[in-house]
Amino acid sequence: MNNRIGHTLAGATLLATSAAGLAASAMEYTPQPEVSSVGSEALIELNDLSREYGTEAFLGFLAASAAIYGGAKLSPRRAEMLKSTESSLNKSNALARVLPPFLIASVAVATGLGSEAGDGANESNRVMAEIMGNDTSDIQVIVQHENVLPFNHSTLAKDDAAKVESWVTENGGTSLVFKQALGDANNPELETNPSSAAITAIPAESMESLGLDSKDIRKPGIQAVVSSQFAESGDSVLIEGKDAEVIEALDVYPGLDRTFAFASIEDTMDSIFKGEQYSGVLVAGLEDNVDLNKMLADMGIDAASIPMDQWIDNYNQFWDRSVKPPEMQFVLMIIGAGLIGSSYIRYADVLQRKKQLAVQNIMGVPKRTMKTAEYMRSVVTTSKASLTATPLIVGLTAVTNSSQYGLNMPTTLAGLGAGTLFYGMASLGSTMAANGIIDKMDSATEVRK
Amino acid sequence: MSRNRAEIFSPSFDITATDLSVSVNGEMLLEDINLTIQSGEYVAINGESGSGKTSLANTLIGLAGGDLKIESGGVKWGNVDLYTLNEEERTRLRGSYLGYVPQSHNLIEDINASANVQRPHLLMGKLLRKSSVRIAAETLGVSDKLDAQNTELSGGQKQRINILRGIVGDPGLILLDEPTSSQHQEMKEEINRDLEKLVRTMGKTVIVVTHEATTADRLITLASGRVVADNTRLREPTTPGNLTLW
Repeated sequence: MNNRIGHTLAGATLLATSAAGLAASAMEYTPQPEVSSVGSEALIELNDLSREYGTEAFLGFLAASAAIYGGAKLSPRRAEMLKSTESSLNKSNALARVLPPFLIASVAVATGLGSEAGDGANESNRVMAEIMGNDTSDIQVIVQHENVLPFNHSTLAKDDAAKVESWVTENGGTSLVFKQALGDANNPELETNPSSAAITAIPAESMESLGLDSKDIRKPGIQAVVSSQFAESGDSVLIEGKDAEVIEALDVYPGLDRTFAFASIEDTMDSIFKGEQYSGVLVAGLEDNVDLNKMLADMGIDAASIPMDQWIDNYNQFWDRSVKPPEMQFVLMIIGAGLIGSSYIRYADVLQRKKQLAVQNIMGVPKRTMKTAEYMRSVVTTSKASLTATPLIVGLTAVTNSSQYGLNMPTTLAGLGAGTLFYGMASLGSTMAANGIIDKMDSATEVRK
Repeated sequence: MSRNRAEIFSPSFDITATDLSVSVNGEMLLEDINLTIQSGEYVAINGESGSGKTSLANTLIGLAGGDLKIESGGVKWGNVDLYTLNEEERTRLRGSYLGYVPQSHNLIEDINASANVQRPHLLMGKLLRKSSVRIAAETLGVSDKLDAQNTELSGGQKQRINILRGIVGDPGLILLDEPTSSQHQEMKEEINRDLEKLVRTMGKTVIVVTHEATTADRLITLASGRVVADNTRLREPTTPGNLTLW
């Protein structure tokens, strides 16, 4: 009793302190614990693992369900075990039916955001690889230093870039010089514009590889290729405050609240971009044993050559670290709420059937049989919910993609799998908790209540 | 476990309680119980509320071990000392030999009467013979109600389905725990009459816990957890509607 009073007082004190803190700071309180790098890494890892092994989990649950239904076909006892967990509560309780697929769909969409952020942000780089006609794994990027991120500060003097291009050509390779920056793009026709633009400039000649007419590219003024979300061909837009004409709109989605803009170096270096420096050069088609870093050193160029995949991966990791930890926290909160909800449903369900279970136990049905039946139900419910979740995932993904520019999250088996994995674990956990009721059930006492 | 059963058990067996004392939460419920219920006997355990009759019945079928604690003595089914077995072994033993009819029906709402009867048996891996279910249902007057949903059954019909569920499956021992106590007088008499007919036909060991008049062959009376009377009578031939009550 004293202990309870103590806890009550401690709780009241905490509430009073929090309330006083809020009042003193004009109704705002910001907890400021230190950043936990271990926690961040763990959350990123959890996100990646859930999507990496989600498909296996999904298929595993489906296979287990198939085995359960198969067993039920062959064995009347197994069939009855499965039926025995279909209580009237589950049949009539809308929450019990809606919650599992909704949780799976929510987790599927949420875990996809982190991956999509990095993937989207690298779309411009993939377009450059396409223009070169090479896979990103076959391309080297020459940038200011090896840890440079796309669209972030990297300078390569025009003269140095020219030396590199010349050397590459002499050695049988191909190159693509580029300038990149995050800037501002504005379409007066839109009520709300994306907050930033991933602007890339390449030589006009190379832009023809996008299927554009040379005459269009070489018209006076800035001719731009943009995201179809942002403008249509023929529209007039502002890029970094400069007038630009849209000559092509591509279905490219360059990440969170961004649009994509490609223009020629010839049109932009003296207007949008100021200065005599490029961001880097893409190089492909050289012999495998060519050491580009040695070439740079020999020429006295202060730059580094890194594989394009590493460059892309650096950017992915930047987005992973930016998006995945808070995103996974929300996923865990969703799952936590789901675990509480599904535990309550399972708990109430077993409680409702407890007297019937007690009678069955007295008649000779072992508790182990009852508990196995509950696990069977959990697996089957998870599988059914994952299938029901599929259209929900499509709907929620569409809603998410419509929430801002630059998002083009696909619905994937990996996402469905991540949702299935998290919900399945929560469901089995709640079943384990509910089975505790069966374990502790004193059938003789229960049946007389 | 299965070896013991194979060695010791035949479908008919005696139940023996020796120096049995049982408590709940430190309070003695049963003291110094010594009795043997022979195979095929029809026994009633009688007594006032709180006399310990249900506790005795529960202990005799292996349900002590939870709230019910055996302080001394033991219970044997044939030669098997029930409480040397663990809970699951006792449960499986009950599944093999016990038919149980609880006081309240506890039927499952959303399945029909037939499914309610079959469920515990199927969960134990036992397939009931349709003919035996039908014959028992006819005797209990519910053969036309087997397809009915729980909501379509009257209180008396539900109790008859409850009894049917407990006695089908050819159990060697049947325990009826106040099977008619929740029924009104007329229904009690009707159900008792049908029940009597059924258990006499079956020739099984029957233990009925009751605080009411009974047609059982032997009446064990408890008071304050002790056996105060244990009377056996020669059973007179009975016919439905002409029952001799204790």
